[in-house]
Amino acid sequence: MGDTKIRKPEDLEKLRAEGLKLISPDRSKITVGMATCGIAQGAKEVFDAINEEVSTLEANIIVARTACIGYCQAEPIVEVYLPGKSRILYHRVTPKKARELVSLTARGEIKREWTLYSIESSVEGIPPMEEVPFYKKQVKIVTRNCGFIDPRSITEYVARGGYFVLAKALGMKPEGLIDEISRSGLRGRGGAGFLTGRKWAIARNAKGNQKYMICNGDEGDPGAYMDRGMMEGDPFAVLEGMTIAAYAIGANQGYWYTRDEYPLALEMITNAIDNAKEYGLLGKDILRSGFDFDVRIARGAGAFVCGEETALIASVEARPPNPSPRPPYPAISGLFSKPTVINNVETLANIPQIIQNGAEWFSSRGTQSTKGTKVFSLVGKIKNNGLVEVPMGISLREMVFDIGGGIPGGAKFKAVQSGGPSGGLIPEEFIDTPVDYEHLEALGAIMGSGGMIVTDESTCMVDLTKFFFDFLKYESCGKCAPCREGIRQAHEILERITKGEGKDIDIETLDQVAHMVKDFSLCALGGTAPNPLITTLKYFRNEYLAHIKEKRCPAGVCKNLITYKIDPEKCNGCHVCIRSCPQGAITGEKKKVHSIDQEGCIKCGGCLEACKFDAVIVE
Amino acid sequence: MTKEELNSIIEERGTGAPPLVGILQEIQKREHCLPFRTLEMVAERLATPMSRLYSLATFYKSFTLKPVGRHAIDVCLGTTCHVCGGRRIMDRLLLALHVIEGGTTSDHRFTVTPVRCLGCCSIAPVIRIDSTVYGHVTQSQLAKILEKHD
Repeated sequence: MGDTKIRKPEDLEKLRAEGLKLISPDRSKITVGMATCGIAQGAKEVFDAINEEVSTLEANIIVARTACIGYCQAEPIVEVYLPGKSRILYHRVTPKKARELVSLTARGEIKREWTLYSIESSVEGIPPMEEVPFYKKQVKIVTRNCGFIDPRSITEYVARGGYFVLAKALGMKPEGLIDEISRSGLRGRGGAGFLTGRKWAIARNAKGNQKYMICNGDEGDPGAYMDRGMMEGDPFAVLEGMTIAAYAIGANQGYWYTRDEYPLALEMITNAIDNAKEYGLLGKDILRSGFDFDVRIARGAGAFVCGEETALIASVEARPPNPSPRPPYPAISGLFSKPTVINNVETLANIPQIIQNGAEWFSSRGTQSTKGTKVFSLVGKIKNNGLVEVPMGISLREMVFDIGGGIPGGAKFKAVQSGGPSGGLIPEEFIDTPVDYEHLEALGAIMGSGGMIVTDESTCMVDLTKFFFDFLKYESCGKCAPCREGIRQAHEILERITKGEGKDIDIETLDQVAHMVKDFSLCALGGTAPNPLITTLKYFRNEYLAHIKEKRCPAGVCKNLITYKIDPEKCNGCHVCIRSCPQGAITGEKKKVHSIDQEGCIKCGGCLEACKFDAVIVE
Repeated sequence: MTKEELNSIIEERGTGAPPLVGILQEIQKREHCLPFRTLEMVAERLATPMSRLYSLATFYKSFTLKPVGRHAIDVCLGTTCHVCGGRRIMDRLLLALHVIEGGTTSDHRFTVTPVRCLGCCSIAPVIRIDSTVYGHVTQSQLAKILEKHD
């Protein structure tokens, strides 16, 4: 085997030339998006079908794979590249369609009806990516490679400019790098929004020869999967950012912390680290700069609190991950009591871009307090689901209605849940709020790591709040009493209210408990835990009152407070609901109106889901 | 698990502090639980107190002390899945399989466990059986999905 080590810029240039040929070869190429959610929607079957058909037809076509381009709604997505002509994306591809695409591609033809959009080149009758509503307001900086390159290929990453930035950075003084990041205004994307440059400077100036760099890939926030998207889609960008950060703070050992729930991400980052080592971009004397850096993977095993810095450090040290009081901050005394910087996956993916293009370029986007772009997982009751990268300061309305396409099925928008269990619910009246740290915090929510869950009128706010408290009850580490006991108390009360056993005094008690937990908890998990409760009490108090006073769940969710009925006007007696009922509680003759036996009904919602005529109603 | 098998895991992962969770994960993966006997061997081999292993084993969700079924059904109850009806999917599964949350069917075929977000929010509600992720799951599809996992 030849020497693959990269030592000087010319070696990178050589690799880039190779990579460009991989991305845009001289013959046709079909690429399948194979991230976790793509595979769940059939991408693997599509990939296999394409491979089979290519070998059956002996077609001169390269079959490749990439990760997620963000438009999860349209998966499985297949990109067809015709050299010199076009790069076209097809959506909702089935194995059958895939086979046909192979023969079309072999003939150099395009099937316009199945296309989603084109990139790079314009093709008549197919909208370019920038004009598709889902992408129109997006700015792809961090996610620019996701769904475009093969995430396993360092060669393709270099072709997109990767590792040239590391070469540049290693030629700069660490202080110069820190200054550049400080001036860019980049704030940590994991949730707290601490200034990245400042964190680096503290660690740089901290005493001690041994320092550590940790990448926090413990995306424990339910409803958020930006970091999975990054780790599966462009792991080298994160690794390059991590290497630059390590050089800036003076660390020679790094840890990449990741969750057990993300097997594919783990595979991709393991591959990225191995590849970088093989090419000499990790290890001793990187790019002949004299700088050594090595990265090991640390695996979490399913605990939300591990996203908290001190708990994460405990987890890496294989201690039970209970948070410790700060200060001292990890930047002074962290892993093995050495100065440690912990940066989130997305924060690190921003670093190469900032060093390449400059602090001013980065800070030209965003708001007064929050610069750059942010990746959000825009999910829930929304038409265009997916990962979106938008400039900071975009309004919630633009996100939900312009990018997200609004609520499916003509239902009415109710609220956006931002920031996960530490976040809050933002009602319709504030939908024009610009998205940045300060504006969302003013509403009692937080931006968090970027989960944006859209809810509609069929979401019960009391039930959703109870859900968060159920989550937090299990995830609270139990070390401090306010968090452990307060959350449990609030959960008990919420449980009662949703069962129809609420009392008038409950709202006041909930309010008190919420503020007690917020003010007296040891770490941020407890400090932010009451946010869903505080915001729903503030914006959706009527829903609490309906549950308590009228024993009614307006959204039709809380089982004890609802009944399922059949609308005789709409029921056409098709028997579908009868077959769907696990209890045999629905009766009726064929082609005659059915009825539900309320004694036998367990309110599982099976009939509601099964009925195609909206004849099942919830009261 | 034999002493030799354990030694090979430890050799592969190293003996320092950071690999400990990884060693337990590997045991969990192979044995479908952390058997008391194996934990004792780990304690002896690494000169680590049992109490420390026990506290790790009971802290993290992905470890179990009791054996689980041939197929692990993880029902996602993250926020998006909750909003999109994940709870109803869970209830229906429990009803169909006659188990409680975290329980194993009497034929040891399935263990049903709630998980907090698999990160597949765009296709909620989601369940995962072993390593296969199913998205946009409906109650009526469940029987068919279960059939695929014997």
